[in-house]
Amino acid sequence: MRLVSLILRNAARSRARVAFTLGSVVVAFLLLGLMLPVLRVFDSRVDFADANRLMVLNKASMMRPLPISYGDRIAELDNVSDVGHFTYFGASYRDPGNEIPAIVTDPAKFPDLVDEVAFRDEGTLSDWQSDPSSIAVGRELADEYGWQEGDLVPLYSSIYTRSDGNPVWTFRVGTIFDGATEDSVTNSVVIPYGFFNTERSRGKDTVGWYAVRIDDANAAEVTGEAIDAVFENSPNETATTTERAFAKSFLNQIGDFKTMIGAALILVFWTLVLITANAQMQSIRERFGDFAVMRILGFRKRRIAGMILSESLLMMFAGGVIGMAVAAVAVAIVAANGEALLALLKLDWRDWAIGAGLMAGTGLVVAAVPATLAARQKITDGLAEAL
Amino acid sequence: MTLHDPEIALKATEQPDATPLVVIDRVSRAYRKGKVAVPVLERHAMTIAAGEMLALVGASGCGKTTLLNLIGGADRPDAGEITVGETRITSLSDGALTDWRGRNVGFIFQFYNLLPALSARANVELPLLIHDLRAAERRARVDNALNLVGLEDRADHRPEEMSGGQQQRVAIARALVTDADLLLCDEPTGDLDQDSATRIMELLSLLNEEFGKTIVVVTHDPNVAAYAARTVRLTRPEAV
Repeated sequence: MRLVSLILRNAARSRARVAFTLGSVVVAFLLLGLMLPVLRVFDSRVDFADANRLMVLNKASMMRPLPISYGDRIAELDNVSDVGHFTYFGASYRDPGNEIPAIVTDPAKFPDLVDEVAFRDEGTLSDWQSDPSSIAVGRELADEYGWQEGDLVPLYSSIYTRSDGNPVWTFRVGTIFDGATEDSVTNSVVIPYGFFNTERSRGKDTVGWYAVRIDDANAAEVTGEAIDAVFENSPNETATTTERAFAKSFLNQIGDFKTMIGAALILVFWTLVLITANAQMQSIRERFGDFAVMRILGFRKRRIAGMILSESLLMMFAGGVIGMAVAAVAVAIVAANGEALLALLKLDWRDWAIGAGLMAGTGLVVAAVPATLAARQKITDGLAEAL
Repeated sequence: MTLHDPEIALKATEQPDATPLVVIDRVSRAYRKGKVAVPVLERHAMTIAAGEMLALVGASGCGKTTLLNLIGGADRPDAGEITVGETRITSLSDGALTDWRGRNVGFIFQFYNLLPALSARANVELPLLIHDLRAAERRARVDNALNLVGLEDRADHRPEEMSGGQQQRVAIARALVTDADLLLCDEPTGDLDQDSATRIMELLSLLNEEFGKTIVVVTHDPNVAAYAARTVRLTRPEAV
């Protein structure tokens, strides 16, 4: 028998309690493993937002359009290096419930204005930019539906009908773009503005919002104020913000989801940890007599405390690794079958590092008090408890 | 001669000598009950010879177990000194006292105090885990100790699967496995039937007579005390 074996046998003294305690730890870290990737995806959406890019929206409502003529006036302002515009198309494919992200923009400016995508095939890029009825499709979306350059794709718009009243728009796939980074989302369709603007039945010569590239991110606020000042008292006043601030405010608008998830995670996690701690402390408390016997046999206080700490860490790491491993599998399944942000979910090394830190920290916290008590108790008191 | 001598069964009996192994010099110990100090030992002095088998008797609360714990370094006196062999144990630090206890003293309790999660073999091996011994050496020592108490065939049984007498023999094997010279027994037969008690006392006598172990037995039972070469009766000091 070795000390490790002694720790294991001691820990398994009450198998039912070990099973329940381990179960609590597994559930706690399963929850952690499921939530951490979700929280990170929220963060990543904000991180991806460019601090050097301003969003110019209609001040009355982000759903109301802005005139196309605003673009040239914005471009004349100081600190503005480029201006592009976007309009939400409201697309779905095959049936109205199968929505896909689709935006309308100027193909000539899109590659330079949006850093998150990469056009690896210059030939098809120029094809898309020169053919007004062609679309650019993200790699994930193309792979999902098996679309290739040259395919004709009918898209249903829930917002815009064509001049003949038909809500179905048929486009040719002009090019397929990739993500600039591994985390970039490529599940969208980009539609040329010219063709769209000519063909639509209403809202001509308007855009959804402007994206403004600025030279100096530190002057973003001043530039935003300057843009809004230009259109002050006009029929379509603007509200300008950085993309990052917009992304944050958008998340805030849906109820500060991240904070709620984070708070729920912390509450549930610590509830489970407290239950575990209670069970662990009770288990150790019941063995004070055994520890007194070990002390009398020559085990030093430090060794006793070390054994209790090891037992607690063992419990936390065993349950924690199982819980996070199950979470990793669950997250991978969700990501493989999910769309949009769900497809980004991944339990990566950062989550494992946080998990390992919490396993170690919790194990130490849980064991600290009983280890100290066991080490400090008088042998004679411990022996009396064993009776 | 040691327990771990391979020719253990063939060795001749060693007789106890008169060299003092334990010297207790005016030791006092009191316990607190609220604000009242209850003296258990008051300037107690005695000597235990090496190889002696001594019975400590007396009324409940007279300090028999307290004295046993003090001799074994499981408790510390309020005053006085205790020397065991060459070591003044009352002067040792906590860690040093623990190490000394692990090497030099074997404890046997009334209720055996075996670890329930461990087999008989693992319980006996327990004190050896803190010694720098190879696994093969530990195993040989455990086998020897279990053979000596006649429990080699119960080595893989847990305490709950054994009778009280068998558990006490495991406890004796555990006390012997480090080859400690001093065995301290607190009511070793107090939880046993007459037959089991007789076998335990015969075993302790054997360890005293054949292996020269110094044995101190705390007991209420005159039949148990009769196995000892000397009996010391403790009386309870006045409360202050």
